[in-house]
Amino acid sequence: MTPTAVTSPAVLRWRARFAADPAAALDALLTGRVALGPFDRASPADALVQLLKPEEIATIDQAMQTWLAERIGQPMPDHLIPEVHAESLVEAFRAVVRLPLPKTRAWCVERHGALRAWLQGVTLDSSRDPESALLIALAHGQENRDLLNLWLAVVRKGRPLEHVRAALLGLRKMPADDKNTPERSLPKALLRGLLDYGAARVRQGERSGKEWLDEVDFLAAVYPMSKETWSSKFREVLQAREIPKTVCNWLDRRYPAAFDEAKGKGGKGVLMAPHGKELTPLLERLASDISGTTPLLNAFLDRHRFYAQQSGDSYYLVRAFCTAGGSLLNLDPAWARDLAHEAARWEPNNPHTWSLLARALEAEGDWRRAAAVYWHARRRFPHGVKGHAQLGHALVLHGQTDLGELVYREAIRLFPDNPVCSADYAHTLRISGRLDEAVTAYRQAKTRFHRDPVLANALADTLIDLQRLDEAEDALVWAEQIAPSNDEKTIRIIGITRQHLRRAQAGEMVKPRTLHTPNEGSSGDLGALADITGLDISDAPLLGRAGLWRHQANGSLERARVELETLPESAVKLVETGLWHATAQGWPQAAAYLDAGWERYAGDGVLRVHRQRAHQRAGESVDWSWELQQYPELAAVILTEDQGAPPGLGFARDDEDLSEEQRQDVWYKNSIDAGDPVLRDLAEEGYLAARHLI
Amino acid sequence: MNPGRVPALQPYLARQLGGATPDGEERAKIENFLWDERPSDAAVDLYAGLLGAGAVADLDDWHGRHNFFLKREIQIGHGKPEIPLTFRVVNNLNRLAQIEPNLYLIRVEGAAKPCELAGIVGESLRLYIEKFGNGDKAAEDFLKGLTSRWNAKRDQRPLFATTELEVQDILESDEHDWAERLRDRLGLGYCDPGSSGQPVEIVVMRYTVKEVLESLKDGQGFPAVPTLLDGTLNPYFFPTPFPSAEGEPGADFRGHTLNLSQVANQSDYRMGVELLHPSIAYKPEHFHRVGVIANPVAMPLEKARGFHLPWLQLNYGRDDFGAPTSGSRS
Repeated sequence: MTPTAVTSPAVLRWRARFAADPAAALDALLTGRVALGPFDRASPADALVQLLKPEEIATIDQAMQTWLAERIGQPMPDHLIPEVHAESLVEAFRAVVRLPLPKTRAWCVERHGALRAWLQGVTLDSSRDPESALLIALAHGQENRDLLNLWLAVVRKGRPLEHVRAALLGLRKMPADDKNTPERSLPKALLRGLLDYGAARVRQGERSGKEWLDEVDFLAAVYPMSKETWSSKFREVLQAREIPKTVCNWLDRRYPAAFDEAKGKGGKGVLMAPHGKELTPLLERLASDISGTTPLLNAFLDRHRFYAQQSGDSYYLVRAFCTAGGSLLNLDPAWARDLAHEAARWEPNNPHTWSLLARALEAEGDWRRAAAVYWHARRRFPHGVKGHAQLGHALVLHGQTDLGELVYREAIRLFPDNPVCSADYAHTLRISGRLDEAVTAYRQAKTRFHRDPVLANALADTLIDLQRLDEAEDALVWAEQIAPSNDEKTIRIIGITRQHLRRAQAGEMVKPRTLHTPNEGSSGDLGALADITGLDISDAPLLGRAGLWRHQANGSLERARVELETLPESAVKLVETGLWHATAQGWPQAAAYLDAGWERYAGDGVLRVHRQRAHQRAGESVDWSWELQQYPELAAVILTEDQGAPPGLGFARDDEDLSEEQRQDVWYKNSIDAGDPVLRDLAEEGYLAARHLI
Repeated sequence: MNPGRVPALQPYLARQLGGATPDGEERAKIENFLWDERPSDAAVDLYAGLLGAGAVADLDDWHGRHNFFLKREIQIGHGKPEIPLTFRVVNNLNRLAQIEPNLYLIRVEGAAKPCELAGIVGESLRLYIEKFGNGDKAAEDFLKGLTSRWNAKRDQRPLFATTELEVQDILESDEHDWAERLRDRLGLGYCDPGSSGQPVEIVVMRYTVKEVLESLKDGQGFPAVPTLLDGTLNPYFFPTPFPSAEGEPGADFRGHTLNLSQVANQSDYRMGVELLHPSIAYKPEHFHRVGVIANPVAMPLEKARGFHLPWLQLNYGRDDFGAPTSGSRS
């Protein structure tokens, strides 16, 4: 007798459709818009497993790739609802595992960043979370260690828990090497990932450790070993780098013996990072003997790569690469750029890697890419004053003076208590030949930061350039008075200025500092940088400019609108346009605008918060409970809007080991606590924009 | 259900009932819609609203729109404060408020999804369950981790289950085909190797009614007799009528699975029992047994439905239930 499921009319219809147009048949199945007879109750991925013959897998593999390629980066299709959209993607990624679909999987591996950036706007809740389904699909079927960076980046975020679990699965399922050698042991990178996850949870305020210990226990069941062996495995990892005390306490509850020798030095066979002291002499030799030093430096960096690949510990690599890259900026900017890029892949949320990358590109003469990276870094790290200053400086240097000034002015607004931007702004005016304006800027800054010797010295130096020597004398005397006696660097700089002044007073001409002519030649592929964030950052300057113009309001609003119109459709564009409406027409209009478009990106937490915020600002009553539960990383803004203040920090703000997320929280809280409504708006927007990025 | 309350469906139903010759599966779905008298008017109105204003073009279109309804009103996302329509006041008429809390319920789940999440194969799951049954702490930790992962991925859709009493004979069986017999008894037509011939791994979950009752507050946890609105359009579903005064005592409180066990004649046919209950968070102790379904469903759909209907009419004293529709079998 022929089986019912094979002769089912619905199955026969679908199979005929699949034969004629695989992608359309797949779309109908994934979105639940087709009858499947006996398989009506099966989930789409499970139905596909039963519906397809082995010889049809290659066809569905191609169809799935096409289906995903048509959707990636796009808003929800008009004929769907968010729940169906999200589930269709979950099922698509499940099918990649279940059938399996190797070509589609490889396609996803190549653009996992872009997929994740897109899917975070689709995810509705943990049961409709295509990003998690993607991670699980990538965790299965790994044939090399290419995804190590991804797994570590996910666990270091510490949430959502389901993503962390998928990343731990990815670390579990990774082969031992790039030749697909099966991992026969407990991977060190898995243990490092587990510890990094614990550290992330501690930074997020977790104290009980229950979730973390559950994962430890789960893995203990997957890798059956004695307590002693588990302890020794942890001990090896702990010897390479310390972990937060709270995580130690958690681990101590399960494996106290892990700490028996942790205070001792690494024993024989323990995987350790190359020592940082080895780098210093190499860098010192670099300028005088680059060809002779290059092989040695390469060998040193390779040892870092090996250690990071094996251990999952990128801490030392990133620092070594950034240090080396900094020394290479003028000698070999392309090498510096490669090092920065590699470091950023390991730690995309480290501002030093982005800063080095931008500076290296600029040094190479690739201003288009450098500008994109500078703007992106400013958006990614709104709490980092240097990122703002570097962008402002670079813009002025490259002739975009007005824009550079705007960046500086906004940064000064954002960091009212930080003299860096004020000083840097004045300095930039000075080196661009606008000496009188520079003096005005220095004097304004000096009124706020009266006891800042660097500012006072810079003012004196600029006044020397202007031959206003009496005023320079006064400024310099003040700088000398307030310079801390233990600040050798500042005292040395003041000393140099004193020499300048003496020479000027003696009638000697002192050459003013001038702008270096920027190098603007080559222009590389911005797409090559998308592997760090998943984003095409070519829109970063446009997005940044639109925000700046909008904040100027009135005359600049039209410029902002023009910039926004050229942006491709995305949740970010929707947010920025909503904010534009708020400025141009008021919050009710902004709320109406966001209401009309938000469902196309229904899982986008930042967009949802902006929409709710617009309603609240429009005077409506808003229920924040879902957003607060679903997007804890946005809680600071939600609570500010809902209750007038962000939550307490829960950690010491002067702790040296704060994560970037924590630094952002500190900056945000300081900004809100200042009680300035304009600053509050800027901080909220900046905070949300940064949290929009993966 | 009264098609008059669902305008979007009327043209499609009129076409199918007025001369078109739908195949057995499509006819089954139309019959289910027309025969299911349990959804309240309020529920039907909600359904009609979410089906939209435009006329349903064909069966696939109906599926798509029905799916939208399910996602919005039945298959509520994990952690959302709403509860499925099945367990709201509008469906109280179909609730099983007197069910014995100590009874065990049995539910069949596909093993693939939890295994994907935990990174194991079905056979490993079987071993973990076995070890857990023998008191192995590590196996318990593993199953805790697995259920925690799995629960987070499950939405709040009502769960189809049967009573342990109803399938005890199969579950206690050591015969190799117990999983297929369970599949057939419960009318799980989708657990079929299909064209691929690939076996389907299942995991049997076992828990008490009490756990179900406690899953929702204020008595909302009472199970329900399934209706067409509670799940996917499915030819293997069969609606249960309200009993007449002459019906079997207690018949009001059950749904009935379409039994796919192969029998030659109607007298050998036996309806299964099914109910719907709110989603519960699985725990290690809920894992009962892992099985493999390697053989297809042999019972033809139309034959099973043909046997099922008279039994319903008899048990519920409802000769009028399931009146032939145009386009129906004669």
